[in-house]
Amino acid sequence: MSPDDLGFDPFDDRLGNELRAVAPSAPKADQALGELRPRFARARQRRRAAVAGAWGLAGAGALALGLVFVGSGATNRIDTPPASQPDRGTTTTPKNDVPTSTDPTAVVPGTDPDGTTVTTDDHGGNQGSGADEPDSDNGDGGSGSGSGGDDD
Amino acid sequence: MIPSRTGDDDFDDLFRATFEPMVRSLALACGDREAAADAVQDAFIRAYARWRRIGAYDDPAGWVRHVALNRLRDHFRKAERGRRAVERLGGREAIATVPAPADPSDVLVHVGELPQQQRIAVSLFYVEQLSVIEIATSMGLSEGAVKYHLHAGREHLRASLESP
Repeated sequence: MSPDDLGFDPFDDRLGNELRAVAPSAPKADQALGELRPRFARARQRRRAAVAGAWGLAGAGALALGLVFVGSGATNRIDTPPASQPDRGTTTTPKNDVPTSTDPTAVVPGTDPDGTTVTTDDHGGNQGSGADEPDSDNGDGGSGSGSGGDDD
Repeated sequence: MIPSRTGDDDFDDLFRATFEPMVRSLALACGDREAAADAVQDAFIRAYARWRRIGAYDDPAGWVRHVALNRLRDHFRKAERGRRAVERLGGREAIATVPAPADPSDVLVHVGELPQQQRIAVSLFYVEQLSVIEIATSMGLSEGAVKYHLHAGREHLRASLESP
């Protein structure tokens, strides 16, 4: 008996002797071993069958998984034509198919043909401060408040 | 500790060396020799089926004992459930029995009074004469917990056996 560090004393020897004396007897090991042999063999067979079944199941699962991957790869493939095909030419279209006016006499609103800027008098209705027409006298001064816009 | 190998002869050696003391200690712990023998046999059968792996362990006997203890716990859990069911159906008075007066010198009676963990620890230590480490492996507890259970069980038995 290993006392370890439990602080054993003579009481423990007495207790151990008493317990070993009163402990129920057990079947003889050799006899029990002989009786258990068939159960041992059956247990090992069952165990091997279970392990083989589990491996088979795992293999089938892996195979199925592989097939799923292969199948999904085929359906998701994108077919692209070869980079150069002899019968396929490149056509270009002119970009300026939107007609634009090039008439020099055309007047762009807000510009005089001689190039000067034309402003229309809004009689002070413009929101401007009047800086463009310092001599304007028909508005309400340079305030440009917009309140006189309806003088006409 | 029995040296571990993986051949069938080694399994037989382990069985011959540990079967009897294991059954005796577990029978003392649970108070039922047949249940203890069945549990140990079942554990050895499981070990035999997996012997290539179990035989390579440092302490294959500890594994067998651990499995046997689990089997015993299951056995008594089921028995306890059955007893409670009978009590619910028949009423406590119908099955109540008057316990026989305990012989104060009967160590078995005092071992039976211990809590389950203390009973198992005391049985494995004194009957099978295992070390604290081996008991800890078998019971799935820490060494400190085993020492606690051993100490508490021993003090209870000392008080019971040395009282006049």
